[in-house]
Amino acid sequence: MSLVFLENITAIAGIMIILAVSLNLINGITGMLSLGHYAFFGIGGYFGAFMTVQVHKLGIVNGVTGLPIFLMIIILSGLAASLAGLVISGPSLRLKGDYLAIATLGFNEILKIIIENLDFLGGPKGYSIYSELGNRPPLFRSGITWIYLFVVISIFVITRIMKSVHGRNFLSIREDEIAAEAMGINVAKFKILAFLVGSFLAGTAGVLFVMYDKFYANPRDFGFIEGIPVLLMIVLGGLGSTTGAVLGAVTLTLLLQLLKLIPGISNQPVLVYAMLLVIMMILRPAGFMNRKELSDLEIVKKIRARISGIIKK
Amino acid sequence: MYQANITLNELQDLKSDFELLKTEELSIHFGGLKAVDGVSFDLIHREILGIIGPNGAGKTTLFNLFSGVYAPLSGRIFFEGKAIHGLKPNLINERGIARTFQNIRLFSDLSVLDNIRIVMQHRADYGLRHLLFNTEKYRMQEDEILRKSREFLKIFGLEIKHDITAKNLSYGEQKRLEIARALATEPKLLLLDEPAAGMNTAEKEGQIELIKWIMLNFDISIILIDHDMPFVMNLCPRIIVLDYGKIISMGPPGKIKKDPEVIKAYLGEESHA
Repeated sequence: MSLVFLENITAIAGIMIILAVSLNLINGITGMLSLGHYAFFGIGGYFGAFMTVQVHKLGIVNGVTGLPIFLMIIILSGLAASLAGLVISGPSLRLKGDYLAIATLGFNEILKIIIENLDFLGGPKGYSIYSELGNRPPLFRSGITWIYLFVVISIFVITRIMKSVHGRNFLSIREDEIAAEAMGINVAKFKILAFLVGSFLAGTAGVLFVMYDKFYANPRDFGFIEGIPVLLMIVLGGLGSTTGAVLGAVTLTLLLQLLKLIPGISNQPVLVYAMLLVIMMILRPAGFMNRKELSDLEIVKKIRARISGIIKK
Repeated sequence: MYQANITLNELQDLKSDFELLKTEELSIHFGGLKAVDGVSFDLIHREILGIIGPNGAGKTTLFNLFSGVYAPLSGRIFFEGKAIHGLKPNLINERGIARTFQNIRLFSDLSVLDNIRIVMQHRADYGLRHLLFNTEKYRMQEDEILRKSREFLKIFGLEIKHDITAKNLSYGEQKRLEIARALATEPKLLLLDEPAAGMNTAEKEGQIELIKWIMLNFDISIILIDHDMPFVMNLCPRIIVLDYGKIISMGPPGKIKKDPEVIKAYLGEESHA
């Protein structure tokens, strides 16, 4: 295994963590079955790529301004994706369960087809930053540092939210929407909020992915079928647990990358997903974490208590 | 556990003359079915009002109208003098009406404590900045919510079970938790949908005392639905009888018991008997 291979796996795992953690907020915590997460991922990717080309054409990028401009692009791409999140949260107020899943799936595919038909975004061939810039690479790129900066931000934001009234409101919607509403919780507001935060984070993952080393946004990377592994990750980890989402993302990424080394299986990932799901359903139907977080585990509680004991002494 | 030690007559005298809830010609139809048909009555502050009626008489639909699950087809509902018909359930709850459900609807996969904590959300007003950076304001409000929630659990004898997942409570405890949860939203009117369903006679006695005790201690009005005649008659100084969506009788238990319309609705007409 070469160093580049390791670096690539680490990068992909990071992007998958952001996607899984943000999808978990919508699916696992708020309980809305969304299959359109890759729409947000794609919008973030395309928007970021397009913006990158534009700022290079404007000629405002140099060694100094590169970093802040890239940060701006990441945030703007997140916002662009959350605009799409706002759109899809509309139907989420009226649709539940399977019906919402179908609506979000359709949304994802529609978006993919629209992008495939937009000539200024390269159509079905995809949008290559290289060729747009005359076969030159952009002056900034994402990498392990950028990706893991946003991994930390995603996990931090979501864990903090879950320790607040807002986080508990999300949970109440998953548990019983009718009761939540009868108890004074503005269900509509929090459903929209879940989509806004989730799609923002997925959008940032999109830019980080496109700007990693390919500098190329391909519509085929952002279809709903491509997004299924992320759903599998949060199911593996245990729907509703952020810790589980991280674990699921890392495990599945590693597994899929290692399988690529085995000839014959590498082009049959769907077979692997199905087998994995079946094994999981038999051995541990509630996922690795069973809705618990790292801080809920007995061993972590003990370690914490010991540390605080040492500090007091 | 909860002894109100108060008779029906004393309850009757407790009522103030402040009109809390008023409905005017309330109607809702589902297809051709008139589920609630021209219902008008009013409710005084600190009153326990019972609604009874045969299956399908429209009792729960009436609750759904009060709590905003349905908007009435015609007619109006006033709460504290303000119109509330057609408002969203969460806004109605903010105005001061809380309810329980016929088939218990707890946040069943969450802990007992979280069930109460969730509905205390109206006590917090910190924004994203405060929760992200763990500010003083965030900590104070969260601590206050936690303290208040524990207080509620203590009142309802669920404090030692605060860590247990709500679905693992016994049936009676679940019913109690649901009432506690409704009260934690600080309502002025509590709607109880079949609070004694599935209970034996002794438990029903306890439930009667609990409901009286809640009324006195929280200083609120209560409307309750039940099938069980003796339960309602021992608890409510005033009773409304619904049949086919219409009020067929209203008054104190003594009057209801003798009303031929009520007997007809429950037992059928003499020729069929």
